[in-house]
Amino acid sequence: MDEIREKIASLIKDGKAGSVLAIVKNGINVIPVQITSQNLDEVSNICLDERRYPIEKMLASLVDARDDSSPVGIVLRPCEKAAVIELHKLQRFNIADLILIDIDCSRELRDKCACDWKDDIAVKVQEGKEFLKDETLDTLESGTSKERWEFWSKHFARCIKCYGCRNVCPVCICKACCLEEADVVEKGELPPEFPIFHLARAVDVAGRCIDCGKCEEACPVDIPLRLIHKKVFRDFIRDFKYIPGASIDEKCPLDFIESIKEEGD
Amino acid sequence: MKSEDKKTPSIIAFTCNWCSYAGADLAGVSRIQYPADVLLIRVMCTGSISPHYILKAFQKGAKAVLVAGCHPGECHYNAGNLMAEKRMKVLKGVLGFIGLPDGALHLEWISASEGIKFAEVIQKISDKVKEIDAEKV
Repeated sequence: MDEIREKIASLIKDGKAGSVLAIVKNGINVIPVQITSQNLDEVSNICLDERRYPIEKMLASLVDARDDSSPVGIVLRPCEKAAVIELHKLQRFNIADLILIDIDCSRELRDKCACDWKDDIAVKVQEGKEFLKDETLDTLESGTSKERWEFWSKHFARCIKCYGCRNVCPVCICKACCLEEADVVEKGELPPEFPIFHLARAVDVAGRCIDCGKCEEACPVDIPLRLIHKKVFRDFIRDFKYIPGASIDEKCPLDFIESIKEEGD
Repeated sequence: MKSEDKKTPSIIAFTCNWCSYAGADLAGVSRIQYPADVLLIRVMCTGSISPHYILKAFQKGAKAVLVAGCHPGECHYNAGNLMAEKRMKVLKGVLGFIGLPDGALHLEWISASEGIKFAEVIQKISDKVKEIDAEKV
C-alpha cells in the first residue's frame, strides 16, 4: 500500500508521468482524482480497496487532453487492466503512453465481484480448470427456453432506459451509439423494447467485454446484466479459444480486417 | 393473394447477392414450390449483416431468420461468409440464452445453382416455425 503511494509520488516528482489517475478518499467521498505536481498531497489519500469506478473511460479522455507527450499513470485493478488492453486494441489510446500501476483487490471485493481476473483466466483455461463459475447462469442454461424467456421478460420489464450500463461500460466507446438510433430501438418507449435494447449491446461488446460486472453494479433497478455478458464471455472463450483482455498481441476473431488478412494469406 | 390473406411473413431471409439470391431466383425460375411465408432481403454479402438487423427482425415479429450465403471458400469478398459464421455463432448463443427457441436463427450455405436446396431449406424452417407455434398453444 505505502509502496504504491511512494511509487506514484516519485513518478510525478521525477517527471516520468505527467499525471496519475487514482481513486482517492476524502472524508466519506471516494472519487477518482487526477494527481499532478500541483496536488501531490492527495497521494496520501489514495484509496485502493473501496469502490470501483470506470476509470478506464476517464483515462481515455485524460490521454486525449494532455498538452505534451508525457505518459499518464493509472492505478489499476486486474479487471481494469484487461479493459485497458482491450481499449488499446480498439485503438482508443496507445498503451505506450501509459504507466500501469497494478494493485490487487481486497478479498471481500473479490468475493463480491466473483472475480476471475485475479487468478489469471488464461492459466485456468489452459489447464482445463473450471472458470467463470456461476450457479444462476448454469441453472438458466439447463432450463427450458420458456423459463429463460420468462426470467428475462420479468427483469427487463423494470428497465428505465437510463443508459447507465452503456455509460459505465469500459469497452463501450462508440461516438454514435446504436441504442440511440431510432432505426434500431424505437424512441420514447418505456420499458425499452425487449430483447433488442439489451441484446444489441451484448452482441456489440462480444469479443471485448471483459466481464467486469460494472454494468450490473451501475443498474439502478438491479437487472442481472452480468449474466448475459458472462454467458457471452464464457462462450467466446470456448468457441474461439480467445480470451478478451488477456494479451496485447492476440487478435480478436471478430476483428474483421484481421481475419481477411489471415484468409488472404 | 386476397387482401385478407395478407399477413406478416414469419421468416426473414437475408440472402447474399452472389449465391443465395441467385439460388432463390433459380428456385423460382425452375418453378420449385416452397412456402410463401418468407421475405427475402438481398444483401451484398452475409458479412455485411449486422446482428442488429437480425435482432430487429425478431423484435418486429419474425418467427425465424435465415442467413444464407456462399459456401466457405467461395465468398465474392474472400471471407465475408466466414465472418458472418462467427457473428451468428455469438448471436445464436445470446438469443438462445434470452429464451428464443432453438430453431429461430438459421445459417445456411446455398450456392447459385442450388435452387432445390433453397426450397428445401425454406420448407425445413417453415416446418420448424409451425412446430414452435404448436408448442406455444
